[in-house]
Amino acid sequence: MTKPVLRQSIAEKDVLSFGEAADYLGVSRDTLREVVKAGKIPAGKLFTRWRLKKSDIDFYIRHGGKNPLVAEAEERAKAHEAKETVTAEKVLKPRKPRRTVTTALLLKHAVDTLSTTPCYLVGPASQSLLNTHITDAGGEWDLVAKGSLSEVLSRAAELFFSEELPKTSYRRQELTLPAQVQSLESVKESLNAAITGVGFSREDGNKLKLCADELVTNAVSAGGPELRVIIETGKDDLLLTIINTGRLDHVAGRMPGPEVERGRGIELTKKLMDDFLLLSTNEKVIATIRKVRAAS
Amino acid sequence: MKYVTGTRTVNPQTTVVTCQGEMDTLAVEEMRQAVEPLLGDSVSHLVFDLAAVEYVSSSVLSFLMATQGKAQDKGGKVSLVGASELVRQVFEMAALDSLFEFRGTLKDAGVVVTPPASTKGKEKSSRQKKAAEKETALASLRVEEVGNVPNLLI
Repeated sequence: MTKPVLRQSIAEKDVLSFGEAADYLGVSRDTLREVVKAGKIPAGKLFTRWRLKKSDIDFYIRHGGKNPLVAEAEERAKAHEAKETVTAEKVLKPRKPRRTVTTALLLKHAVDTLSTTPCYLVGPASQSLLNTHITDAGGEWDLVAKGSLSEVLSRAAELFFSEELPKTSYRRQELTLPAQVQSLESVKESLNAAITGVGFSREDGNKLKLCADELVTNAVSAGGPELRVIIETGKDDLLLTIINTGRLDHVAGRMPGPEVERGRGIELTKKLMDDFLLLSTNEKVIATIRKVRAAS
Repeated sequence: MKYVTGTRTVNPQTTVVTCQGEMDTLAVEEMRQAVEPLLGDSVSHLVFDLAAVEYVSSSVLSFLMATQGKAQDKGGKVSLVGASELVRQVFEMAALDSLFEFRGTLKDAGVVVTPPASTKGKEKSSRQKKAAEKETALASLRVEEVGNVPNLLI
Protein backbone atom coordinates (compact mmCIF):
# COMPACT_ATOMS: atom_id res chain seq x y z
CA MET A 1 0.00 0.00 0.00
CA THR A 2 1.38 3.37 -0.89
CA LYS A 3 1.58 6.10 1.69
CA PRO A 4 -0.79 9.03 1.15
CA VAL A 5 1.16 12.08 0.00
CA LEU A 6 0.27 15.31 1.75
CA ARG A 7 0.56 18.03 -0.86
CA GLN A 8 -0.27 21.62 -0.22
CA SER A 9 -1.81 23.31 -3.23
CA ILE A 10 -0.19 26.45 -4.62
CA ALA A 11 -3.18 28.45 -3.43
CA GLU A 12 -2.42 27.53 0.20
CA LYS A 13 1.29 28.29 0.03
CA ASP A 14 3.10 31.52 0.88
CA VAL A 15 6.45 30.49 -0.56
CA LEU A 16 6.75 28.79 -3.94
CA SER A 17 9.44 26.82 -5.68
CA PHE A 18 10.68 28.03 -9.07
CA GLY A 19 8.48 25.52 -10.95
CA GLU A 20 5.40 26.33 -8.86
CA ALA A 21 5.97 30.06 -9.40
CA ALA A 22 6.20 29.53 -13.17
CA ASP A 23 2.96 27.51 -13.09
CA TYR A 24 1.29 30.14 -10.93
CA LEU A 25 2.20 32.85 -13.43
CA GLY A 26 1.42 30.60 -16.40
CA VAL A 27 4.83 31.12 -17.99
CA SER A 28 7.79 28.91 -18.74
CA ARG A 29 10.69 28.55 -16.30
CA ASP A 30 12.93 30.40 -18.77
CA THR A 31 10.58 33.36 -18.89
CA LEU A 32 10.39 33.45 -15.11
CA ARG A 33 14.17 33.28 -14.92
CA GLU A 34 14.38 36.39 -17.14
CA VAL A 35 11.83 38.21 -14.95
CA VAL A 36 13.78 37.36 -11.79
CA LYS A 37 17.06 38.30 -13.43
CA ALA A 38 15.63 41.71 -14.33
CA GLY A 39 14.87 42.25 -10.64
CA LYS A 40 11.13 42.42 -11.23
CA ILE A 41 10.33 39.60 -8.82
CA PRO A 42 12.65 39.01 -5.87
CA ALA A 43 13.85 35.45 -5.38
CA GLY A 44 16.16 33.97 -2.80
CA LYS A 45 17.95 30.70 -2.23
CA LEU A 46 16.57 28.82 0.73
CA PHE A 47 19.15 26.14 1.52
CA THR A 48 19.94 25.03 -2.02
CA ARG A 49 16.68 25.77 -3.82
CA TRP A 50 15.31 28.98 -5.24
CA ARG A 51 12.14 30.21 -3.56
CA LEU A 52 9.77 33.06 -4.38
CA LYS A 53 7.21 34.72 -2.16
CA LYS A 54 3.70 34.49 -3.53
CA SER A 55 2.95 38.01 -2.29
CA ASP A 56 5.82 39.31 -4.51
CA ILE A 57 4.36 37.48 -7.53
CA ASP A 58 0.91 38.92 -6.75
CA PHE A 59 2.49 42.38 -6.48
CA TYR A 60 4.15 41.85 -9.88
CA ILE A 61 0.86 40.76 -11.47
CA ARG A 62 -1.08 43.60 -9.83
CA HIS A 63 1.32 46.17 -11.23
CA GLY A 64 1.40 44.87 -14.76
CA GLY A 65 4.89 43.40 -14.62
CA LYS A 66 6.60 46.55 -13.43
CA ASN A 67 9.64 46.51 -11.24
CA PRO A 68 8.26 46.62 -7.68
CA LEU A 69 10.48 49.59 -6.83
CA VAL A 70 9.04 51.58 -9.73
CA ALA A 71 5.48 50.45 -8.98
CA GLU A 72 5.76 51.37 -5.33
CA ALA A 73 7.38 54.68 -6.15
CA GLU A 74 4.55 55.45 -8.56
CA GLU A 75 2.01 54.59 -5.88
CA ARG A 76 3.73 56.97 -3.50
CA ALA A 77 3.91 59.64 -6.16
CA LYS A 78 0.18 59.26 -6.75
CA ALA A 79 -0.54 59.56 -3.04
CA HIS A 80 1.48 62.78 -2.83
CA GLU A 81 0.13 64.23 -6.06
CA ALA A 82 -2.43 66.41 -4.31
CA LYS A 83 0.25 68.00 -2.14
CA GLU A 84 3.11 68.43 -4.57
CA THR A 85 4.43 67.06 -7.80
CA VAL A 86 6.46 63.98 -6.98
CA THR A 87 7.62 61.78 -9.79
CA ALA A 88 8.58 58.15 -9.48
CA GLU A 89 12.10 59.15 -10.34
CA LYS A 90 12.25 61.61 -7.45
CA VAL A 91 10.99 59.04 -4.94
CA LEU A 92 13.44 56.46 -6.18
CA LYS A 93 16.38 58.81 -6.13
CA PRO A 94 18.60 57.70 -3.27
CA ARG A 95 18.68 60.19 -0.41
CA LYS A 96 22.36 59.60 0.16
CA PRO A 97 25.22 59.47 -2.29
CA ARG A 98 25.98 56.19 -3.98
CA ARG A 99 28.34 54.18 -1.91
CA THR A 100 31.01 53.42 -4.47
CA VAL A 101 33.84 54.88 -2.41
CA THR A 102 32.80 53.33 0.91
CA THR A 103 32.35 49.93 -0.67
CA ALA A 104 35.59 50.08 -2.59
CA LEU A 105 37.67 50.98 0.43
CA LEU A 106 35.90 48.62 2.83
CA LEU A 107 36.31 45.70 0.46
CA LYS A 108 39.94 46.56 -0.13
CA HIS A 109 40.51 46.30 3.63
CA ALA A 110 38.53 43.07 3.62
CA VAL A 111 40.78 41.52 1.00
CA ASP A 112 43.81 42.57 3.02
CA THR A 113 42.40 41.21 6.24
CA LEU A 114 40.16 38.24 5.73
CA SER A 115 40.68 34.69 4.73
CA THR A 116 37.64 32.95 6.13
CA THR A 117 34.17 32.51 4.78
CA PRO A 118 31.32 33.12 4.84
CA CYS A 119 31.13 36.90 4.75
CA TYR A 120 28.17 39.14 5.36
CA LEU A 121 28.02 42.67 4.03
CA VAL A 122 25.22 44.70 5.58
CA GLY A 123 24.09 48.27 5.20
CA PRO A 124 21.08 50.45 5.92
CA ALA A 125 18.29 49.51 3.57
CA SER A 126 17.55 52.94 2.19
CA GLN A 127 21.07 53.12 0.82
CA SER A 128 21.60 49.59 -0.35
CA LEU A 129 19.47 49.78 -3.50
CA LEU A 130 18.75 46.11 -2.91
CA ASN A 131 15.44 46.34 -1.18
CA THR A 132 12.40 45.26 -3.02
CA HIS A 133 10.29 47.77 -1.19
CA ILE A 134 11.32 51.27 -0.22
CA THR A 135 11.64 51.78 3.51
CA ASP A 136 11.45 55.08 5.31
CA ALA A 137 14.61 56.89 6.40
CA GLY A 138 16.82 53.83 6.53
CA GLY A 139 14.95 52.19 9.38
CA GLU A 140 15.98 48.71 8.37
CA TRP A 141 19.22 46.93 7.57
CA ASP A 142 19.72 44.84 4.48
CA LEU A 143 21.98 41.96 3.92
CA VAL A 144 23.74 43.41 0.88
CA ALA A 145 25.75 40.31 0.03
CA LYS A 146 26.55 36.97 1.59
CA GLY A 147 28.83 34.08 0.71
CA SER A 148 32.52 33.60 0.21
CA LEU A 149 34.65 36.70 0.08
CA SER A 150 34.89 36.47 -3.71
CA GLU A 151 31.11 36.17 -4.01
CA VAL A 152 30.62 39.18 -1.76
CA LEU A 153 33.14 41.15 -3.79
CA SER A 154 31.51 40.35 -7.09
CA ARG A 155 28.00 41.05 -5.78
CA ALA A 156 29.11 44.37 -4.29
CA ALA A 157 30.88 45.27 -7.52
CA GLU A 158 27.73 44.49 -9.50
CA LEU A 159 25.63 46.64 -7.16
CA PHE A 160 27.80 49.60 -6.46
CA PHE A 161 30.53 49.94 -9.01
CA SER A 162 28.36 51.01 -11.90
CA GLU A 163 29.79 54.47 -11.47
CA GLU A 164 33.32 55.22 -12.35
CA LEU A 165 35.48 55.40 -9.26
CA PRO A 166 36.46 58.97 -8.49
CA LYS A 167 40.01 59.81 -9.41
CA THR A 168 40.74 61.35 -6.01
CA SER A 169 43.48 59.60 -4.17
CA TYR A 170 43.02 58.94 -0.48
CA ARG A 171 45.60 59.74 2.16
CA ARG A 172 45.77 56.86 4.55
CA GLN A 173 46.77 56.65 8.18
CA GLU A 174 46.68 53.38 10.09
CA LEU A 175 46.84 52.75 13.82
CA THR A 176 46.97 49.46 15.69
CA LEU A 177 45.70 49.95 19.22
CA PRO A 178 44.85 47.76 22.20
CA ALA A 179 41.17 46.85 22.30
CA GLN A 180 40.35 49.13 25.23
CA VAL A 181 38.13 52.16 25.57
CA GLN A 182 41.20 54.31 26.36
CA SER A 183 42.33 53.80 22.75
CA LEU A 184 39.57 56.22 21.82
CA GLU A 185 41.89 59.08 22.86
CA SER A 186 44.44 58.12 20.18
CA VAL A 187 41.70 57.61 17.58
CA LYS A 188 40.26 61.05 18.30
CA GLU A 189 43.67 62.67 18.19
CA SER A 190 44.34 61.34 14.68
CA LEU A 191 40.77 62.02 13.65
CA ASN A 192 41.01 65.65 14.79
CA ALA A 193 43.96 66.22 12.49
CA ALA A 194 42.15 64.55 9.58
CA ILE A 195 38.95 66.55 10.23
CA THR A 196 40.93 69.79 10.14
CA GLY A 197 42.74 68.64 6.99
CA VAL A 198 39.52 68.04 5.05
CA GLY A 199 37.96 71.24 6.41
CA PHE A 200 34.81 69.87 8.04
CA SER A 201 32.54 72.22 9.97
CA ARG A 202 32.70 71.96 13.76
CA GLU A 203 29.35 70.17 13.84
CA ASP A 204 30.32 67.58 11.22
CA GLY A 205 33.66 67.07 12.97
CA ASN A 206 31.79 66.42 16.20
CA LYS A 207 29.51 63.96 14.41
CA LEU A 208 32.55 62.07 13.13
CA LYS A 209 34.13 61.90 16.59
CA LEU A 210 30.83 60.81 18.11
CA CYS A 211 30.52 57.97 15.57
CA ALA A 212 34.17 57.00 16.10
CA ASP A 213 33.31 56.62 19.77
CA GLU A 214 30.39 54.35 18.90
CA LEU A 215 32.47 52.13 16.60
CA VAL A 216 35.40 51.87 19.03
CA THR A 217 33.07 51.09 21.96
CA ASN A 218 31.35 48.35 19.96
CA ALA A 219 34.65 46.89 18.78
CA VAL A 220 36.05 46.87 22.33
CA SER A 221 32.96 45.16 23.73
CA ALA A 222 33.32 42.45 21.06
CA GLY A 223 36.61 41.47 22.71
CA GLY A 224 39.87 40.51 21.03
CA PRO A 225 43.38 41.81 21.60
CA GLU A 226 43.58 44.81 19.28
CA LEU A 227 41.84 47.22 16.95
CA ARG A 228 43.03 48.32 13.53
CA VAL A 229 41.95 51.84 12.78
CA ILE A 230 42.27 53.26 9.27
CA ILE A 231 41.56 56.91 8.53
CA GLU A 232 41.38 57.85 4.85
CA THR A 233 40.94 61.40 3.68
CA GLY A 234 40.09 62.61 0.21
CA LYS A 235 39.54 66.06 -1.22
CA ASP A 236 36.19 66.51 0.48
CA ASP A 237 35.50 63.32 2.42
CA LEU A 238 36.74 61.19 5.27
CA LEU A 239 36.39 57.45 5.79
CA LEU A 240 37.01 55.73 9.09
CA THR A 241 37.42 51.96 9.21
CA ILE A 242 37.64 49.91 12.40
CA ILE A 243 38.65 46.26 12.14
CA ASN A 244 38.30 44.05 15.20
CA THR A 245 38.13 40.44 16.19
CA GLY A 246 34.60 39.27 16.75
CA ARG A 247 31.38 38.52 14.95
CA LEU A 248 28.35 40.57 14.11
CA ASP A 249 25.63 38.39 15.57
CA HIS A 250 22.77 40.63 14.68
CA VAL A 251 21.96 44.18 13.82
CA ALA A 252 18.74 45.26 15.47
CA GLY A 253 17.71 47.41 12.51
CA ARG A 254 15.77 49.82 14.67
CA MET A 255 16.50 52.20 17.48
CA PRO A 256 15.82 50.35 20.75
CA GLY A 257 12.98 51.64 22.91
CA PRO A 258 13.52 53.54 26.19
CA GLU A 259 13.22 50.29 28.16
CA VAL A 260 16.50 49.08 26.65
CA GLU A 261 19.64 50.49 28.22
CA ARG A 262 22.16 49.90 25.41
CA GLY A 263 22.38 49.30 21.66
CA ARG A 264 21.86 52.78 20.22
CA GLY A 265 25.38 53.38 18.90
CA ILE A 266 25.05 51.63 15.54
CA GLU A 267 21.68 53.22 14.83
CA LEU A 268 22.97 56.69 15.71
CA THR A 269 25.97 56.17 13.44
CA LYS A 270 23.68 55.14 10.61
CA LYS A 271 21.75 58.39 10.96
CA LEU A 272 24.68 60.74 11.46
CA MET A 273 26.97 59.53 8.65
CA ASP A 274 26.60 59.76 4.87
CA ASP A 275 27.40 56.08 4.51
CA PHE A 276 28.01 53.10 6.75
CA LEU A 277 28.85 49.51 5.84
CA LEU A 278 29.61 46.51 8.03
CA LEU A 279 31.33 43.38 6.81
CA SER A 280 31.32 40.40 9.13
CA THR A 281 32.83 36.94 9.05
CA ASN A 282 33.17 34.35 11.76
CA GLU A 283 36.31 36.02 13.02
CA LYS A 284 36.41 39.70 12.13
CA VAL A 285 34.15 42.71 11.80
CA ILE A 286 35.03 45.60 9.50
CA ALA A 287 33.03 48.78 9.91
CA THR A 288 33.49 51.70 7.53
CA ILE A 289 31.82 55.09 7.84
CA ARG A 290 32.03 57.98 5.41
CA LYS A 291 31.28 61.66 5.84
CA VAL A 292 31.34 64.08 2.93
CA ARG A 293 32.13 67.73 3.59
CA ALA A 294 29.08 69.90 3.03
CA ALA A 295 29.42 72.29 0.11
CA SER A 296 30.22 75.75 1.40
CA MET B 1 38.18 66.49 36.24
CA LYS B 2 38.05 66.64 32.47
CA TYR B 3 34.35 66.22 31.72
CA VAL B 4 32.59 67.17 34.98
CA THR B 5 33.84 70.59 35.99
CA GLY B 6 31.81 70.98 39.13
CA THR B 7 28.74 70.20 41.20
CA ARG B 8 26.83 72.89 43.06
CA THR B 9 24.22 72.09 45.62
CA VAL B 10 21.36 74.50 45.29
CA ASN B 11 19.24 73.10 48.08
CA PRO B 12 19.05 69.72 49.85
CA GLN B 13 17.14 68.21 46.90
CA THR B 14 18.76 69.92 43.91
CA THR B 15 22.29 69.81 42.56
CA VAL B 16 23.68 71.30 39.35
CA VAL B 17 26.30 69.13 37.61
CA THR B 18 28.32 71.16 35.10
CA CYS B 19 29.80 69.20 32.18
CA GLN B 20 32.02 70.19 29.28
CA GLY B 21 33.71 68.96 26.12
CA GLU B 22 33.21 65.79 24.11
CA MET B 23 31.09 63.58 26.33
CA ASP B 24 31.94 60.11 25.06
CA THR B 25 32.38 56.70 26.64
CA LEU B 26 35.41 57.97 28.54
CA ALA B 27 33.24 60.57 30.29
CA VAL B 28 30.84 58.05 31.80
CA GLU B 29 33.09 56.92 34.66
CA GLU B 30 33.72 60.52 35.69
CA MET B 31 29.99 61.28 35.60
CA ARG B 32 29.28 58.21 37.68
CA GLN B 33 31.83 59.28 40.31
CA ALA B 34 30.27 62.74 40.49
CA VAL B 35 26.62 61.70 40.52
CA GLU B 36 26.45 58.52 42.57
CA PRO B 37 27.31 60.10 45.94
CA LEU B 38 24.67 62.76 45.28
CA LEU B 39 21.89 60.28 44.60
CA GLY B 40 22.92 58.27 47.64
CA ASP B 41 22.30 61.46 49.57
CA SER B 42 19.10 63.48 49.76
CA VAL B 43 19.39 64.87 46.20
CA SER B 44 16.56 63.90 43.88
CA HIS B 45 16.65 66.69 41.26
CA LEU B 46 19.79 66.65 39.15
CA VAL B 47 20.36 69.48 36.72
CA PHE B 48 23.03 68.73 34.12
CA ASP B 49 24.43 71.95 32.69
CA LEU B 50 25.43 70.97 29.14
CA ALA B 51 26.07 74.46 27.74
CA ALA B 52 29.77 73.71 27.19
CA VAL B 53 29.24 70.17 25.84
CA GLU B 54 30.09 69.45 22.18
CA TYR B 55 28.26 66.10 21.88
CA VAL B 56 27.06 63.13 23.89
CA SER B 57 27.58 59.51 22.84
CA SER B 58 25.19 56.61 23.32
CA SER B 59 27.09 55.53 26.48
CA VAL B 60 26.30 58.90 28.02
CA LEU B 61 22.66 58.53 26.94
CA SER B 62 22.55 55.17 28.73
CA PHE B 63 24.09 56.69 31.85
CA LEU B 64 21.62 59.58 31.87
CA MET B 65 18.72 57.16 31.41
CA ALA B 66 19.88 55.08 34.38
CA THR B 67 20.32 58.28 36.45
CA GLN B 68 16.85 59.45 35.46
CA GLY B 69 15.46 56.10 36.70
CA LYS B 70 17.23 56.47 40.07
CA ALA B 71 16.07 60.08 40.46
CA GLN B 72 12.50 59.11 39.65
CA ASP B 73 12.65 56.33 42.26
CA LYS B 74 13.30 59.10 44.78
CA GLY B 75 10.44 61.17 43.41
CA GLY B 76 12.82 63.46 41.52
CA LYS B 77 13.99 64.05 37.97
CA VAL B 78 16.91 64.90 35.69
CA SER B 79 16.90 68.24 33.84
CA LEU B 80 19.23 69.03 30.94
CA VAL B 81 20.19 72.65 30.47
CA GLY B 82 21.77 74.50 27.54
CA ALA B 83 22.04 71.48 25.22
CA SER B 84 23.48 72.32 21.79
CA GLU B 85 21.65 71.47 18.57
CA LEU B 86 23.73 68.31 18.05
CA VAL B 87 23.12 67.12 21.62
CA ARG B 88 19.37 67.63 21.17
CA GLN B 89 19.54 65.90 17.79
CA VAL B 90 21.18 62.81 19.34
CA PHE B 91 18.45 62.60 22.00
CA GLU B 92 15.80 62.97 19.29
CA MET B 93 17.37 60.34 17.03
CA ALA B 94 17.46 57.94 19.96
CA ALA B 95 13.81 58.83 20.68
CA LEU B 96 14.78 59.71 24.26
CA ASP B 97 14.08 63.45 24.16
CA SER B 98 10.64 63.02 25.73
CA LEU B 99 12.13 61.26 28.77
CA PHE B 100 14.09 64.31 29.89
CA GLU B 101 13.27 67.86 30.79
CA PHE B 102 15.24 70.15 28.44
CA ARG B 103 15.71 73.77 29.47
CA GLY B 104 17.51 76.62 27.77
CA THR B 105 19.08 78.11 30.89
CA LEU B 106 19.51 77.27 34.55
CA LYS B 107 16.82 79.84 35.33
CA ASP B 108 14.39 78.01 33.05
CA ALA B 109 15.16 74.86 35.03
CA GLY B 110 14.15 76.65 38.22
CA VAL B 111 17.67 77.51 39.34
CA VAL B 112 18.89 81.09 39.71
CA VAL B 113 22.59 81.79 39.90
CA THR B 114 23.26 85.21 41.38
CA PRO B 115 26.36 86.83 39.92
CA PRO B 116 28.88 88.12 42.46
CA ALA B 117 28.68 91.85 43.15
CA SER B 118 31.20 93.98 41.29
CA THR B 119 32.28 97.28 42.92
CA LYS B 120 35.53 98.11 41.17
CA GLY B 121 36.42 101.69 40.23
CA LYS B 122 32.96 103.18 39.79
CA GLU B 123 31.06 105.83 41.65
CA LYS B 124 27.73 104.34 42.64
CA SER B 125 24.31 105.90 42.81
CA SER B 126 22.26 105.28 45.94
CA ARG B 127 20.16 102.82 43.97
CA GLN B 128 23.25 100.88 42.95
CA LYS B 129 24.50 100.99 46.54
CA LYS B 130 21.24 99.47 47.77
CA ALA B 131 21.47 96.77 45.15
CA ALA B 132 25.06 96.08 46.12
CA GLU B 133 24.06 95.71 49.78
CA LYS B 134 21.38 93.27 48.75
CA GLU B 135 23.94 91.32 46.70
CA THR B 136 26.25 91.16 49.71
CA ALA B 137 23.46 89.83 51.88
CA LEU B 138 22.83 87.15 49.32
CA ALA B 139 26.51 86.42 48.80
CA SER B 140 26.41 83.34 50.99
CA LEU B 141 23.39 82.13 49.07
CA ARG B 142 24.93 82.24 45.61
CA VAL B 143 22.38 79.92 44.23
CA GLU B 144 18.78 79.51 45.13
CA GLU B 145 15.92 77.63 43.70
CA VAL B 146 12.91 79.46 42.42
CA GLY B 147 9.59 77.75 42.92
CA ASN B 148 6.75 77.53 40.39
CA VAL B 149 8.70 78.51 37.31
CA PRO B 150 6.56 77.65 34.30
CA ASN B 151 7.84 74.66 32.37
CA LEU B 152 8.97 76.36 29.20
CA LEU B 153 10.31 74.01 26.63
CA ILE B 154 13.15 75.40 24.58
